[in-house]
Amino acid sequence: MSPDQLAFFILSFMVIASGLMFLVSKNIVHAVLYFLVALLATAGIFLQLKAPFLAATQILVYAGAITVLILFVVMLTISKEPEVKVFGQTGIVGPAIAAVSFFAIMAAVVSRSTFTPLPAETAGIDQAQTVAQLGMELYVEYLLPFEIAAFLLLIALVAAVYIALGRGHDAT
Amino acid sequence: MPLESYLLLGAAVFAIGLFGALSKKSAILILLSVELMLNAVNINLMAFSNFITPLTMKGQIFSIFVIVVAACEVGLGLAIVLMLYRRRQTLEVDKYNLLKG
Amino acid sequence: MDRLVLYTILIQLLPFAAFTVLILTGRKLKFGPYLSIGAMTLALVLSIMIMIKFAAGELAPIDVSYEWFTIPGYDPISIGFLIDPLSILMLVIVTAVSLATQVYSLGYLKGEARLNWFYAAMSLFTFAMLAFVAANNFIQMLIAWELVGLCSYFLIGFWFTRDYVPPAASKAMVVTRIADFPMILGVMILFYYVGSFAYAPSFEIVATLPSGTITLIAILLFIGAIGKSAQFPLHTWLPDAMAGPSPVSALIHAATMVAAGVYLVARVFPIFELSTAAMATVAIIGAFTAFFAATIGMATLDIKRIVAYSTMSQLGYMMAALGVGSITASMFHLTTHAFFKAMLFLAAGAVIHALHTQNIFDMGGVRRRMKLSFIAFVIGALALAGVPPMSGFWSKDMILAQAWDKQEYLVFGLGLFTVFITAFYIFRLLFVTFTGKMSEIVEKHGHESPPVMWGPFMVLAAVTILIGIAGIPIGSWAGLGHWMGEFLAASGGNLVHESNIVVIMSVSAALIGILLAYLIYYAKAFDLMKLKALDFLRHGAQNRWYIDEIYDHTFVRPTFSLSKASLTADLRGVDWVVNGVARLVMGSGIRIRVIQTGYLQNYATAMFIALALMVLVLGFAGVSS
Repeated sequence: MSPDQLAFFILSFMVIASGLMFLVSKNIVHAVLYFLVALLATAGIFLQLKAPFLAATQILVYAGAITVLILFVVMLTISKEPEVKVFGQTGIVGPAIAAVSFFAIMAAVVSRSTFTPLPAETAGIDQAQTVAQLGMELYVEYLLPFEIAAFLLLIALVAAVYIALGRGHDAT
Repeated sequence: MPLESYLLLGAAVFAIGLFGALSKKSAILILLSVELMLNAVNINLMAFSNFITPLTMKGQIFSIFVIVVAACEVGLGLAIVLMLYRRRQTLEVDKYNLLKG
Repeated sequence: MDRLVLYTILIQLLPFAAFTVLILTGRKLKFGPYLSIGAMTLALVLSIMIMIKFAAGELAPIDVSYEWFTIPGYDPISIGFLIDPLSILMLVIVTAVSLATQVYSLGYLKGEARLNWFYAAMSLFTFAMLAFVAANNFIQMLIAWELVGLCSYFLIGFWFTRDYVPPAASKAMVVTRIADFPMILGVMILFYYVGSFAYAPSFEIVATLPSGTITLIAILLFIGAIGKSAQFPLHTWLPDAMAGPSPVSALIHAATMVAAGVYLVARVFPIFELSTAAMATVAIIGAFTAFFAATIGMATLDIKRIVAYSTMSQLGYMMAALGVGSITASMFHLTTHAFFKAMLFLAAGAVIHALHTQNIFDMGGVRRRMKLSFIAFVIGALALAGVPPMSGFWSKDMILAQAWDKQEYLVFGLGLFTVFITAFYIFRLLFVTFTGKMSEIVEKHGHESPPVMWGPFMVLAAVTILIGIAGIPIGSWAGLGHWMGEFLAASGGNLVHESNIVVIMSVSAALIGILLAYLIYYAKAFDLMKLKALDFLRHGAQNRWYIDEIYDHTFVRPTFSLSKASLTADLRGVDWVVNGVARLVMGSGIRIRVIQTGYLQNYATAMFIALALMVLVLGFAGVSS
C-alpha cells in the first residue's frame, strides 16, 4: 500500500469514527469535541487533495472559530434536567433509513459513473497549485462572489448581534 | 487514490450528518450535524477540483465560499438558539411542537 | 291605430294602471280605492260607448294581432284582440259589476288596513278578466285565465289570518289547476294541427280534423271550463271560496270569473259545434250540475253558501244552453245572472256585515231593520226563480225553450225540475232570513247599511228590473232576448224559437216552488224535519253529497302520504349522501391530521425518505439524466 493510500485510510477512518462517536455520545461537550476531531481529519484530507490553503482555512475557521462559538453557546445554554436520552422523539429508524438509503444511492451513482478530467486542465496535474495562483483566481475570476461573500459576512454579523440582543434594545 | 474513494467518503460523512440532523434532541447538536454535512460537501468539491479541474481550482474556490456561508449560518443559527433558550429555558426540540395538528 | 282597438286597449289598461300604482305606493296612498274606482268608471263608460256603437251598427267586429315573437316554422305568437259583440257584451258586464263591487267595498271594508292591496287585486283581476275576454289567441287567453285564477286566490285569501281562509284559497287554486292541465293539453293538441295559436286559423283548420280529434280537443278545453265555472265534478272549491269578503264573491264568484268558463265555450263554439259528443257532454254536465247544486242549496244553512250553490246551479244552466246549441240563450242568462247574482251577494253581504253571522237560522225578521236589503233580495229571488217579468225569467225560459226545441228532453227535464228546486231554496232563504220573528242577533245588531253599500246593489236591482222590463215583447220590440240574438249574430248567436208550453211549464214550476217554501217557512204549515222519509235526502244534501269526503280520501290523503314519503326520502336519502360527503371529508381530515406532529425532524425525515424513494423509482423507470 502506498503512503498515499495509507494516509487516506487513516484520515477517513478518523473522520468516520469521530462522526459516529459524535452521534452516540451522551455529553454535549464530548460531542462537540468529537466533531472537532472530524474537522481536523477533514483538513488532512484537504491536504491530501493538494489544497494547503483550504486545509489551513478549514482549521482556522471551522475548527477554530465555529467550534469555539458553539462551545460558548453550550456553556450559556446548560439545561437543568440531566440529559440521558441521546436521540429525540423521531427515533432512530426513520433517520437511519434516510441516511442509509442516501448513502446507497450515492454509492450506486458513483460506481456507475466515469469521471474524466477536462482536457484543458491536464497540464500540471501532479503539482499542487500555489496559494498565489488561488489568490489570482479568486480576485480575478471570482471577484464579484468574493465581494458578495464579504458583504454576507457583514450582514450575518449585524443580524446575529441584533437577534441575540433581543427587542427593546437600541440597534445603534 | 481514485476519485471514487473520496466521493464515497464524502457520501458517508454526509449520511452521518444527515442521521444526526434528523434524530438529535438538542438544537445545538442538530446545528453541528448540519455543519458535518457541509463538510462532506466540501470534501466532494475538493475531490472534484483535484481530479477534474486541477488547473483552475474551481472546486477549491467553491469550497471557500461554502466555508464562508457556513460560518455566517452558524453565527446566525446560534443567535437564534440563544433566543430560543431565553424563551423556553430548554433546547430540546421535542418541546418545540407548536406546529402540531 | 284603429280607434276601436285603441279603446279596447285602454279599457284593459286602465285597471292595470290602477293596479300598478296601488302596488307601488302601498298603504300610504289615501285615495287608492278612488283611483281604482275612477279607472273602472272610465273603462265602463268606454265599454258602453263601444257597445252602443256596435248595436247601432256603426262598428264591425275586428280581429287584430301584434306580433310578439316567432318560432320558426310556425305562425307568430302575438298579442291580439278580437272585438265582436260577444266580447263587447262581456266587457260591459265585467266593468259594470266590478265598479259596483268596488264602490260597495268602500263601505264593506271600511277601516281595513290592507284596503289598497284589496283594490290592487280587484283591479288586476278586472284587467285579467278583460284581457281574457278580448283575446284573440289561445296563448293570451291562457295567460289571462291563469292570472284570473291567481287574483281569485289573492282575493279569497284576503283575510288570511283567519285559519279557514288559506285552505279555501289553496283549494280554489288547486282544483282549477287540475282543470287547467287538460285544457292546456287541448290547446297544445290544437296547436299541433293548426300551427298557430290564434282563434281564426284554429276554427278553420279544426273542421278538417277527424271527428275523434275534434271531440278530444273540445272535451279537454271543456274540462278547463268545468273547473273555472265550478261544474260537477270540479265544483268543490266554490262553496269554500265564500271565505273571501262578500264583494269578492259578488264580483268573482257570481258574475265574472265563473262565467269565464261559459265564455270560453262560447268563444270556441265553432270547435264544439263540430262534435256531437262534446256538445252532449257539455249539456249533460251543465244540466246535472244545475240540478245537483240546487239540491245542496236546499239544505244549506249559510246564507253565502246558498247563494254560491245557486251560482253553481245557474252556471250549469248556461253550460246546458251551450250544449243544446244556443250561444244567445247562454250569454243572455249570463248577463241577467251577473246582475242579479251580484246584487244578491252584495245584499247578503250587507246582512252579514250588520249581523256578524252567516247562519240563516240565527236570523229572522231582518226586513224590519234592513228594508233596502230586503227589497233587493226579493227582486233577486224573483229573478232567480224565473218569475216573469223578471230578467231571470226571460233568460232561463230561453234556455228551456232551446232545449225543448232541439228535443233534448233530458236537459229540459232536469232544467225544469231544477226551476222548482231553485224557487224553493231561494224563497226558503228569503222567508227564513227576512220574515218571521226577529231573532236576538237581529234585535241587537240589525241596522241598515250605509249608502255606499246599498247604493251599488240597489243600482244593480234597478238594472235587473230594467232588463226584466226590456224582455217584454211589446209591439215591434220583440223583447230583449230577441235583440240579444240579433246583437250576437256576428259571434254565432242564434234566435231561439219561443214556445208557450215551455213558458207555462217553467212558470208553474217556479210558483209551486215558491208556494212550498211559503208553506214550510212562512206559514209554518208543517215541519220538514218530521218527515223521516226525507232524512236520507236531507243528510245527503246537507253534506254536499259527500263529494268533498270522497275526494279527500281518494286524492288528497294519498298525495299527502306521497309527499311525506318523498320528504323522508329526501332527508334520509339525499341529505344522507350530501352530508355524508361532508362527514367523509371531516373524518379523513381528522385522521390525516395526525401526520402533522409539529416536530420538524419528523418532517425532514419524511422528506428525505421520500426523496430516496423518488430517486429509486426514477432510476428504475430508466429516466435518463
